Amino acid sequence: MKKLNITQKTYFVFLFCICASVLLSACIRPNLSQFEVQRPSRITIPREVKKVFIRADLVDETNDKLGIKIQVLQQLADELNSYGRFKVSVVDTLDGSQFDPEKESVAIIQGEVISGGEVDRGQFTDLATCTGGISGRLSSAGAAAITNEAITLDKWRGYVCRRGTFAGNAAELVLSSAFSLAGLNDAIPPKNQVVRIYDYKNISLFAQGNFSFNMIGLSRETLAIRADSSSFGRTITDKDSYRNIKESHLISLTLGSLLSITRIPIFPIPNRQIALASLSNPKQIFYGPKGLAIPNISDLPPKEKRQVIQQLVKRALESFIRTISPYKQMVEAEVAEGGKAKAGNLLKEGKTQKARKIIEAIPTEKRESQDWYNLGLAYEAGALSTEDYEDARRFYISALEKSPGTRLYAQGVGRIRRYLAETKILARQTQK
Amino acid sequence: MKLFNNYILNKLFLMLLISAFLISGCAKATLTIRSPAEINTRKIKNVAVGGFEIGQMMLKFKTERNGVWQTHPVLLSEEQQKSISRSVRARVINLLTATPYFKVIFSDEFEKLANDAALQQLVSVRGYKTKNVDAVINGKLWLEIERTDGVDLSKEGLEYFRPPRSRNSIGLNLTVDQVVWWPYKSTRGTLGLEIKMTRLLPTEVVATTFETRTYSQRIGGRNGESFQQIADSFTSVLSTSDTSKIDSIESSADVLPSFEQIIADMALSIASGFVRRVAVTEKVVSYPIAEGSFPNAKILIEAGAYDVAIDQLQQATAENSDPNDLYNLGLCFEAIGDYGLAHTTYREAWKTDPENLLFAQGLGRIERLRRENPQLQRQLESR
Repeated sequence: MKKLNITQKTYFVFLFCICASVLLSACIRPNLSQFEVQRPSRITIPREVKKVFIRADLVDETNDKLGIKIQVLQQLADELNSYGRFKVSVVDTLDGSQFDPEKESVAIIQGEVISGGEVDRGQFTDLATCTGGISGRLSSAGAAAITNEAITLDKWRGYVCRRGTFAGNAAELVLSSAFSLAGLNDAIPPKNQVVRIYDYKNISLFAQGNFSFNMIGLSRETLAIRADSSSFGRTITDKDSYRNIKESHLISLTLGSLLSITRIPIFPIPNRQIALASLSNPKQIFYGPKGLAIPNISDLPPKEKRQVIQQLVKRALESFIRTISPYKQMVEAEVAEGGKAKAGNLLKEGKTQKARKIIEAIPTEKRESQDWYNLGLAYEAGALSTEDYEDARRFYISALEKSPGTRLYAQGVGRIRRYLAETKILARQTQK
Repeated sequence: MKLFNNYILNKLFLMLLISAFLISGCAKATLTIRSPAEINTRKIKNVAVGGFEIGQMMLKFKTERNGVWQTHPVLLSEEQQKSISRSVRARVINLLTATPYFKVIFSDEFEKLANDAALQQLVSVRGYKTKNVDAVINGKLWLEIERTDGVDLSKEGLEYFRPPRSRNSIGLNLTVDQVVWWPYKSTRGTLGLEIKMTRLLPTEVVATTFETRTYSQRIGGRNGESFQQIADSFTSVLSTSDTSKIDSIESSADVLPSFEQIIADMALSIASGFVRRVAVTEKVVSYPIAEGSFPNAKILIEAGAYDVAIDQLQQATAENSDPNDLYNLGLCFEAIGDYGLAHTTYREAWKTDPENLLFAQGLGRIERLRRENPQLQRQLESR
């Protein structure tokens, strides 16, 4: 018996360790270092094109219902300028004073801005289960706190009602079974189902940019056309709008005394006449002939609306920008903890040069795998040339040789392979 | 009881081991492979995109209460219709420019033509001025989108349970029929898109396709109501954007998409099918990695570090030719497009263990690619 207990305990400890390690590995956020890499554009624009004019007069705004055209064009100009490949400005028109077509080739961006939004209101129905007793209250309170679930109270003893069926209420079911097994039927509280209605409001915003990139000079040529869009959607359910409209105990109370006398369970009981839940039928029609309104201040606070639109515009412009201009991208890579140099924290703080110096001060034969990897990361994060990437690759391979089977080090090698392939294209696009 | 406990514990342990094995065994290599065009477009390098004519466009709101339906059509101005047509055209261009196969020539000359008849006439008399264009792609679209605000009616059994109060009592467990109204909102859109590719010299319609896509989504209503959306398989064929997850924009599955978004998704889906027919396309696939004896191979392949994996696997297999390492080496050759070496290496692995399905699959893949390859090579060499 004792032996068996020891075996059982060992198993449990083993199982606990596995579960704990799985949970820990899933929950612990890795130590990440962020750095910027430059990536090539999808098409290579001729090098002589350095000036770009965004022609506001040639950007159609007929379907710009949110009135964001100016914001879109300015954001496009700002982002393109930040990448440094072009000098971009938004202009109302273009004439001979802004450039000399005999001497230089410039590009113009024209197109269309489409935007819109909707506020969709309505009423929905759901079924809920109302439970009483301590367990009902505890599970309801817990659920409400954790899942932001809507709770209503029925008129009968103030039982709490939550979305779902009898079978779905696991906590109550387990307690009922336990009480039943213990012969404590009196302790099991009654429960009933209820039809509820509630109001909701859906808010959506949409932005699309259709742009073309045209080179002009001695000749005119369209080099790129793209259409990209982005959308935002939010559902707001007003918890105070939940109302119980038909509770089954109201009917069962009437029939309960009859059934107790006959002691014959009847299932199911058709009760159409008195059960017509007419309140669940919304009288109001939510789609009018004019369609849906655009979200206003009461639907989305101005500050938040501005932020959302900024995100939408950024997303809608992203692919067009990446088509015509080399761009910078933030990359996250995990930092190796430990090693002789203990340079992990420096990398996380973005001090790549300092990390590089500290690691390089350690003789190569004394460097541990973490040092090699972090050195690779320092080179990768501060890369200015193909040689830096090649060095980073070499250091990652050294780390892998020192500590075979480490996924982190292999990921470094894989990343550099991709960058080196892109670097050749990038060099063609950015060489002066 | 003791035996029972032991049995349960052993079962649990076994299940954990199997789960751990499955988790560790699901490593896959992600490869980008090229597929040849379905129809012969070898001599077509430069493609212009003409206009997309509007066949019919209907947008409407439908409402229903107590069986009475009302429809409110949304009238679109000519400019709005043109804008939708331009958006569909631009989505087709998005995909065409994502393939390495065609050079898209952007010319207003073909876009301005009123319809296909005008294009065919211009092409037949060679009246176009744009130079260096081998073919023109144009299209026609039919669109119908409706939003519904309706109410379903169903009979629901509301349950009531009361435990017995004493040993002589039977308690209550009733189901009471209730008629319940379930309001819902839905959107449904159908896009019919005809896309045609016309070669200029000799004048010939090389490819034409007419496809429809339907999108429908429903919110509210009785729980468990199904809704369908268009298949998004096209995104795996031509991934056009690697949007960063950091700047994710809030979205909700309970919000019906805007008309513009539905049109964009459906147009992209149809266009991807057309592009697959006429152009060499790239697609991203995942293949399993074998559990070889060389510890770094699996993680290097997973990370996409194929060159280093090849170096190290070649050394490892020269000393000890484990068939799993050979398979992984073949996978690396396949990933970098060296199908000849991939075939030889897979074959070597398969010869050592002919029963191994993984090795046979590798071999089969390469043979299929090699069958397609002459066509692919011819298509790529003609660029």
